[in-house]
Amino acid sequence: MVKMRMRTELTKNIRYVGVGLLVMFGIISLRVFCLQIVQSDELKSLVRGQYQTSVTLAPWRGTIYDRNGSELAVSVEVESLYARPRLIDNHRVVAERLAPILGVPPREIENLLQSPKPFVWLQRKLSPSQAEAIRELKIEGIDFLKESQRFYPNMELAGQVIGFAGLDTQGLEGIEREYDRILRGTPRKIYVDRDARGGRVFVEGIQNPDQTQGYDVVLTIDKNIQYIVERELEAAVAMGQAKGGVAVVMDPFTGDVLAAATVPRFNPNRYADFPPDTWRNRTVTDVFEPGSTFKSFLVAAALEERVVRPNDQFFCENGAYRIANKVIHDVHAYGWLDVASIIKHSSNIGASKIGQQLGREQLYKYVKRFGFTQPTGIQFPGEQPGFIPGLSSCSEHTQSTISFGHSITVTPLQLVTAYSAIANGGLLMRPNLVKRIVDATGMTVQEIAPLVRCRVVSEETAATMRSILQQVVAPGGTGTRAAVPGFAVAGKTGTSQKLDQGEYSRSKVVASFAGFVPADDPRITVLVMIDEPQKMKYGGEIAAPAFSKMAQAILNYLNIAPRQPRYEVPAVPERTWQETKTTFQHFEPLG
Amino acid sequence: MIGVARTAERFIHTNFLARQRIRRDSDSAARDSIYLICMALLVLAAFFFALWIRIYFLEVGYRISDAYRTHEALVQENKKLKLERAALRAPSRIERIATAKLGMTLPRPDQTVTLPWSK
Repeated sequence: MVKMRMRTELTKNIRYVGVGLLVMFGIISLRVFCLQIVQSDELKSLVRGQYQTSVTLAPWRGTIYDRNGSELAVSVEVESLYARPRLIDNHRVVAERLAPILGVPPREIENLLQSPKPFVWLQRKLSPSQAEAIRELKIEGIDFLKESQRFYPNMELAGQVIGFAGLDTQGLEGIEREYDRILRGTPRKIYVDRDARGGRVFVEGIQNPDQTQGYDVVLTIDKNIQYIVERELEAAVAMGQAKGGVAVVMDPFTGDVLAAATVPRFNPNRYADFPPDTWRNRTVTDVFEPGSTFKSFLVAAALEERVVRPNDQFFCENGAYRIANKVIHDVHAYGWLDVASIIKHSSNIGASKIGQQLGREQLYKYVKRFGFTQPTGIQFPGEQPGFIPGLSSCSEHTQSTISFGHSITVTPLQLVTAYSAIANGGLLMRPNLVKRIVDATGMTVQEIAPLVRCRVVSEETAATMRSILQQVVAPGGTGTRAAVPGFAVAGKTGTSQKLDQGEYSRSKVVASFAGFVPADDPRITVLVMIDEPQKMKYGGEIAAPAFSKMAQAILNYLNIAPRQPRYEVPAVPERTWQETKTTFQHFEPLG
Repeated sequence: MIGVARTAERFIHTNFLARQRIRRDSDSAARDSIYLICMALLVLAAFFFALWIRIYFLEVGYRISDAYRTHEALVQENKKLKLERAALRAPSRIERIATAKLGMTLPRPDQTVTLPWSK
């Protein structure tokens, strides 16, 4: 009996203990629930702070390539030197040891080392040899940090087009600036564990390390064509003792800019050593009065509107023509000239009369149609639209001067794009400087396709203009020095006086030649513009020969074989106003 | 887990306990002890497995860290080589070598022979 009672007591005690254990277990479970579920995020961040750290994967600036994949701008890692002044015992000794390597006076380094700041830069972005030499000194209190530096391996080549990036690799000019956001890349933060020695452990791995790198930009520029153009342009500027020059080469059917040269040049690797006005890409940022190169568009408009025909005769007033109270002059005195001869001999009076026949409204309409006085849409900063006086304020005299390319300002890019429209059969293309954007793995992210802005003239008119423009380069024309042996060349010379203190200057001119070759199957459109030549001031004397040399070298490079013109270019005889013979019986338009 | 414990119990009972004269209540206590020991061993095994997984993750993390550093170093090396190649292929340098060192010139038009295209 006693035994049974004891047994019952024992069982009851066991039950009490069991219940107690259950209650304790319940409390612990509740606490665990609070910690693991309710306060989970808060506690995770606390824990993270203790044994985790964040690492920012620094983005690498994308590369800029030419159309054939040659590097034009590349970012590489370089070392920058810093000091922790408090850890350095003898500032003077350290300064004297570093000075010869850094190429700065020891006093300058000593001043930096005496700074109260805990961290000072001694020199950013050292060369590998400098970093190696300093490392060997094993100086306590100085160390290196890795940074990105932009290099332009072709030196001055296409400097104004590419632009440059600043000390902190941000784009400051040119394509570097226009595409800065795309080239720059995106920094990415990832969390890593820290071990007992402070080392980083990537327990979460790194997804797509290439994602941080900026996109690469492929330009339409051909490095070799750019070099040819820059070389010949520099030679022409030197020969003419000119202030500067601009040249553009374009594919007339796609609008791709194959070269855009500005002289004087600058080296983007040392941009601070050059005056800021050399940084400008004058093919889009500067405007000029096109002069006689504009006559081609006047005649194209007149032919398109059928207000003139190629063999219509105009009396060129023997070189002086009064309009309102002003007189327009020709370089030489001409009598009767047909339309083709007006272009061939570049008669301002003939052009004025064609302009009068066309009418002010139509003239303005075609100015806009050929893309003048409006941005072209090229992917480049600082593009100027150009200028023309308002239609309502256009006097009879102004209309005449616009007809031969004065009182209107255009950019070189607009001019070469308009000539390309004549070359390709009448389509105004959007000029392109960027071909495509690719990611770090080489995959194309964006392709920029050729874009037709509008049709400016019919194919028939364009074909007629191509024939007429070949007369300019034929014997007797103003642009005979633009001829390229073995190829038919079509183009127009221009010599426009510059405004100087409100008056047209006799000494300051812009000499130019715009054309395309081969005339029967155009592959390139080229504009050469020489600013203020002191010697050989006419477009036919200085710009046309430069065009010829550029075109010859470029056609060689593109492996385009020379061939004879399809037909013999007839010589156009001189006429006086007494002779009324019909001309151009041999005229045979191509197309 | 219970199945494992029962199997262990049967084995021990057959090979050891059945050969001894054990009182009824001792058998029950022994059975409970066996269960507890097996459970404890399993918990310990799970603990060691978790620890091994954690150490393995850390080791993989170190390897990823090393691989990332190697990747970065190789990318930089590649870029520097591309830069060097681009500088060596600069048109101005090529022309300078061709004209100054090798005495080459650009061909004149009369020096260019166009071969007919043969099919």
